Amino acid sequence: MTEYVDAGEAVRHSTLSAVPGRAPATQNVDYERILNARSEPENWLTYYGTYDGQRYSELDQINKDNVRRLSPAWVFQAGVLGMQSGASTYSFEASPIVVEGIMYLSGWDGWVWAIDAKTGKELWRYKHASPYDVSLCCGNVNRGVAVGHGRVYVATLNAHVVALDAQTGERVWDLTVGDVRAGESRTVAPLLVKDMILVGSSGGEFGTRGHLDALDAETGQRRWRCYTVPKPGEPGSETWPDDGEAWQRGGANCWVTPTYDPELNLLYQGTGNPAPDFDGGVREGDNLYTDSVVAIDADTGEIRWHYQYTPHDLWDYDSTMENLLSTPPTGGSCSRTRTRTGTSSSSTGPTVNWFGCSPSSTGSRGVRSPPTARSPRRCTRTRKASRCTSGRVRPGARNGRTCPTAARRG
Amino acid sequence: MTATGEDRAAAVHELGLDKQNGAALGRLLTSGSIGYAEEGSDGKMTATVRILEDQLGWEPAVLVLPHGGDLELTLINDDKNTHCAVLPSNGDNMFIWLVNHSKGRANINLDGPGQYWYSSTTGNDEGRGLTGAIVVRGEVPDDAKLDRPAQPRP
Repeated sequence: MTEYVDAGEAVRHSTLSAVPGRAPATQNVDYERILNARSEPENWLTYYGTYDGQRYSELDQINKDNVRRLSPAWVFQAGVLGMQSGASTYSFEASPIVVEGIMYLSGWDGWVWAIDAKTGKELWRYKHASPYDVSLCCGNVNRGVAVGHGRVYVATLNAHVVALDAQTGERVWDLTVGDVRAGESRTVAPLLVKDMILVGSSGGEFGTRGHLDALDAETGQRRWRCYTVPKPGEPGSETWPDDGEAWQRGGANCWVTPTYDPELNLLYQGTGNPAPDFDGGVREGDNLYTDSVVAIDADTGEIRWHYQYTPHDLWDYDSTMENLLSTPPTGGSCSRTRTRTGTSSSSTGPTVNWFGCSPSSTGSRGVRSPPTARSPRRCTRTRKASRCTSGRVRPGARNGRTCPTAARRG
Repeated sequence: MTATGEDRAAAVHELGLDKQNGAALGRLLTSGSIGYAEEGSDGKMTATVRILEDQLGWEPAVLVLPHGGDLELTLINDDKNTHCAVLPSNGDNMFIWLVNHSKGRANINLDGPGQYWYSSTTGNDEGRGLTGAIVVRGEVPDDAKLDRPAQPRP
C-alpha cells in the first residue's frame, strides 16, 4: 500500500502573491451621494460618473494645453490563467469605479479587483468560477461594477449577481438571476438606485426574453423584473405574431447600463435586437420593445413610455447605448440617445447613427438627426400588411416634430 | 465515488461535451474515464482524482457533480514527478502542490449547471496534459428562469 506525503489543503491562489487581501474603508457610497456625484470629481461613483449618463468630469488638471504630455503612471496587468469561458475573445470593457483612491474594476471571466488608484497595487481580488460552456455571443467581458452600502456589486457570465464586501472582496450574497441553459448570461455593469441594484439581461443572440431586474441591495432579493418583450395580451404584444411563439425568444436584452432621472424617477433603458436577428419572417410586426429606449418607473418596473428606433429590425442594430440626459438650449429636459452603428456581414450593409431628443417625461420625439441607411430596400411589416420602400431608408422614421420651445417636465 | 463502465462516447454526449464549447474539453478528456461525485446526507459532495504514473492525465478525466455547491476533492499524485492543481472555485482559484506520491484535499464551491476545467500549471504540464473537467449538472432555481413556456433544449 502506497504511503503518501501529505499535500495538505489547497489554498487560495492569491495567497501565493503579495496581494494584501484588504482595501481601506471609505466613506459610505449611497444613493444620496451618487445624486451629488458631480460635486466630487475626484471620485467616479457610478458607471457613467453621474446618473445622467454624461460621463463629464470637472477635473481640470489635465487640459488641452498639457494633454500631450500624458504618460503612463502605472500599469495593472491582470494576467490570464488557462482557458476562458466562451468561444470568443476576452478583454477589458469596464468603466472603473473610484472611491477615495480605491479603484474597483471588473474584468473577463468573473474577475473583480480592488486596486490602489494611485499606485496600481492590487488590494484584493475576487474570481467567480466561470463555466466554460456559457453562451457568449460577443466576447468574454464585463462592463463594470456598482459600489455602495459597503459593497461591490457585479454580474457574472453565468447569470449571477454577486455582492462583495468592499474591503475584503468576500462574497456577501450571490443570486442566480438567469438560466445559462437557456442561453442567458450577464455582462452589464449594475446600477445602484435608491436601495436597489439594477441589472439587465444578456443573450439576445440565443433566443432569450430580455428584461431588467431590480434587486434589493441589502439582501439580493428581486424587487421587480421588467420584461422588454411583452407576453400576449400585454401592451405591445400586438406587434408580435398571433401564434404566440416569437415573443418567447424575442430578444430586446438590456446589456448596457440605464441612465436615471431622479426627478421623474424614471430609468432610461436601451434594448437590443429582436431574435432571430436577421430572419424577420418568424416575427412579423414591429416587435416591441426591441431596438427601443424604454422609460421604466424605478419603483415598480412598469414601462411608462418607449420610442422604437428600428421597428422589425433585420440588421441586428441593438439600441442599447447610453441615453444621455441633458437640458436643451430651449429649456426643459430631454434624453438624447446615441445608438451604435449596426453591422452587417455584407460589405454594403447599412450603418445607422441616431441623435435624437425626446422629452424625458414623455418620450415624444423631438429634434433629431435623421439616420440614413445605405441598403437599397427595406421592408417593414405589420401583422396585417407588408410595405417596402426603396432608395434611402430611415429606420424607425415616423414623426417629424421639432422640439417644443418649452418642454414640460413631469 | 463511483466510476462508471458505460460507453465513454455515449457518456460524453450525454454530458454535452461533444458540441460547440463543450467539444474543446471533450476532445481533451475522452481519453480518460468519467467519474461521479458522491453526495452525503448533509449535501456535501466528495470525490477523488488521481494523477496516474507516466500518463499526464487525471483519473477520472471528467468528474460529474449532480448539482452546484461545495465539493471536497481528494487529489492523489501517483506519478514520479511533481505536479499541482489549480481548481476553479467561487471566490478565488484554489491551488495545491502535489509532490511525488502525495495526497491532499481541496474544498471548492461551484455553480451549477456548467462545465469547468482545471489543470496542473507546473513544469511541463500546462498545455501538454493534466487538464481535467468538472461537469456540474442540475438546473437553476425556478425563479431564475424566464417567464415563458418550456423551451426545447439543444
